[in-house]
Amino acid sequence: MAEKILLVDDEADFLEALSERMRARGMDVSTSVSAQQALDAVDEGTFDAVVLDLMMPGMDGLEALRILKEKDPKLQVILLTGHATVQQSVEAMKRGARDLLEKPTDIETLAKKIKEASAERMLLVSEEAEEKIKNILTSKGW
Amino acid sequence: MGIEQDHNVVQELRYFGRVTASISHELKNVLAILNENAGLLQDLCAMVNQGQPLDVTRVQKLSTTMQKQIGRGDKIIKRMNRFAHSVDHDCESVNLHELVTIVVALFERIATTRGITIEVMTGTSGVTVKTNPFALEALVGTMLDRLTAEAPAITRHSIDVSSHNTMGQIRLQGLVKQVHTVARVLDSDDLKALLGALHAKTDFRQETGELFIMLPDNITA
Repeated sequence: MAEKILLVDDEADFLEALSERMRARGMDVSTSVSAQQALDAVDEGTFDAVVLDLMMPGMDGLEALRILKEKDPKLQVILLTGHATVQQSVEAMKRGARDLLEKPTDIETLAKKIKEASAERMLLVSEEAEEKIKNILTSKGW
Repeated sequence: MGIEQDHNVVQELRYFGRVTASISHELKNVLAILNENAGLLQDLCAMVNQGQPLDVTRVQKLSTTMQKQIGRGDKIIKRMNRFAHSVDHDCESVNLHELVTIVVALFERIATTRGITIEVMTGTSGVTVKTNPFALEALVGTMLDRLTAEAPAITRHSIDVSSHNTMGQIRLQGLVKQVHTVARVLDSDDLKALLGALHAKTDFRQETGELFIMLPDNITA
């Protein structure tokens, strides 16, 4: 099944080229040019992973990451940045980022990280479903 | 070198560092776009090798995007080079309009990130003063940085230069109702030190929201 990916970056030329390459690798890619647009997209649909630029006009990637994780703690977020300071990297991990990659990045590395993120999300979702079933069975006393 | 001079050097180096970091971030974005477009060309070649027809229009579009990004990178590097050379001399004749234009251009990425537009007005372009170019860049750049960080609600500023008596003037507009912010920014030790080093003065006109930086026509006179 194709991984459902949301790619977020304010550089339109970057979004266009990377999304086309990811689609050619079998992924189902949506794009957002701002953090706010990304938050709206996450409200409307489900994604296996979000690839998020750290520095964007308006809301930055770290703040967007915080809100995304609040909305869906299981969401896998990979940050992509021109440069990250040690402080930013630590903060990103604290806020629940799965990974932080530096631009320009190798598409095969990114694709591998996305597949791992997608597998992790599936595991979390299935664990949650299993937990729900267990709770139902226990509460009903069957 | 005294403690005060040491402090000034550190503040100026911090400005140099901030600008360089911003430029390198922007260059990384240019490289990332070139990287993805070059990668797309490789993908297209792989598809042709597998027997699919070549979409020439697609290749032309990629070439146009790459040329656009190369032009963008070239502009950034030219600005960076010019900025780097501003530390060459402690005192030289400086065209204020050109200096302000370069400072605003160097600040553009940070301004965009903050959702702020700064417009350099075409006014008096022939105003020159003999001053320390790097210290003046650090002063104007640091002021723009602090004012736009501390007054984020204001999304539009303009800046222009003129001369008054024997002084060169740089005017930043768009600070109406920002009296406390401006006072706090101007009261910082590093800006006071830069103003002192440049023998410059400031004048904030609260009612019009204009902040003037007044510079002597010759710092050595």
